[in-house]
Amino acid sequence: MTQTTNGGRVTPAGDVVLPPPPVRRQLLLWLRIGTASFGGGQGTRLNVYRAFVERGGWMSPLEFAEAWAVCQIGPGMSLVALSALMGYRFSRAAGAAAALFGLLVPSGLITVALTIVYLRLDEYPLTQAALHGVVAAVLGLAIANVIFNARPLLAASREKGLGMLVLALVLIATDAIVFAAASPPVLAVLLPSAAIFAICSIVRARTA
Amino acid sequence: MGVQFVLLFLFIFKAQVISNNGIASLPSLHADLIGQGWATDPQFAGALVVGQMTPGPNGLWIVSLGYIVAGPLGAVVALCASTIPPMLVLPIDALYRRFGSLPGVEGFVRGIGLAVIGVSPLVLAQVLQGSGFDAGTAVIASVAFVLVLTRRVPNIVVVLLGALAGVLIYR
Repeated sequence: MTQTTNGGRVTPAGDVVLPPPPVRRQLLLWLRIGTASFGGGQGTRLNVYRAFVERGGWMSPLEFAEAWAVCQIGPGMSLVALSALMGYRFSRAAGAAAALFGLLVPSGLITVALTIVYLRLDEYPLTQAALHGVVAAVLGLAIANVIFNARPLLAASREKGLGMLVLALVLIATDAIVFAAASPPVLAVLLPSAAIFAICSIVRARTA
Repeated sequence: MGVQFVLLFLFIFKAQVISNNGIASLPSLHADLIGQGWATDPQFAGALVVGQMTPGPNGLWIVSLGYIVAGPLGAVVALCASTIPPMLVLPIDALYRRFGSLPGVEGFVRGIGLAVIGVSPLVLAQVLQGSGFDAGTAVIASVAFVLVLTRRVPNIVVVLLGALAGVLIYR
């Protein structure tokens, strides 16, 4: 890892990343994300990406995409894992605690408030129509999230050669088809893909 | 029969340990809570809808469900039981940062990232199946996507515009 003059660093992929902000500033950002990211996990992940990668520059897009992949390996909610991972990488235990508190306390309270409202309004046709629209908008957010993560991963594969890029695209397409056709458990799709890509990466490193 | 909080904690904890995203914990929790007679199918459906709207992870639908079946304490129990399993990511990430430069490890993590890209729109589509996909859904989703890419419109506005469009189209 290379240091830069302003205390930042250059990632192995060559992106320049700024040093993380103080924990108090991180806490405020997470609190804002936990309060305003309506649209469930998709809206929240988008705001995390915007705040820490696009605006802050404290993590590169490739680091973010890889961190998201690491979060799929362990159990439980990936976004909870992601916030703990990012907080810990930025500022150890204090950063992780700030991330978890800031993300989950406001969103947990809002969840309870929305539940109370929903229990009273769910039989009205107007509520159902509005929810249908919300769900459709969330699908749009989800596609944006996929693209923000696909770009750096495909670029990183391209740097390893055309063969790895083609393999990456084939894996994405195959996984989508397998999942659509058979709906297996998600891990049953992720792990074979990871194994194939790992083996090809090793072979490529040996022969390069 | 009243809800036993220790048992509720254990049910949710188990559901989270054996799943790796917010929705994958549904089958286990559904079997346990329906089995105990603590929750009904419409209550599950309502909690899932709230999880799609609220800030934070989709998995917060479990907090909504906790509130529905056992009040404020149920929500707290649900949040605590769901926060512990994901912490396993910290030792995993420590290993990744130590060995991530090895081609095999780097390839493994990137392979997972690529597979997630192929699978995640479909996972969401499964969740959305209940509400029905039609031309209106496609239009709203496309407009939302374009608005996000402009980077000028906050998500909350995109979601509210979605609600407004839903009222205009589906009422």
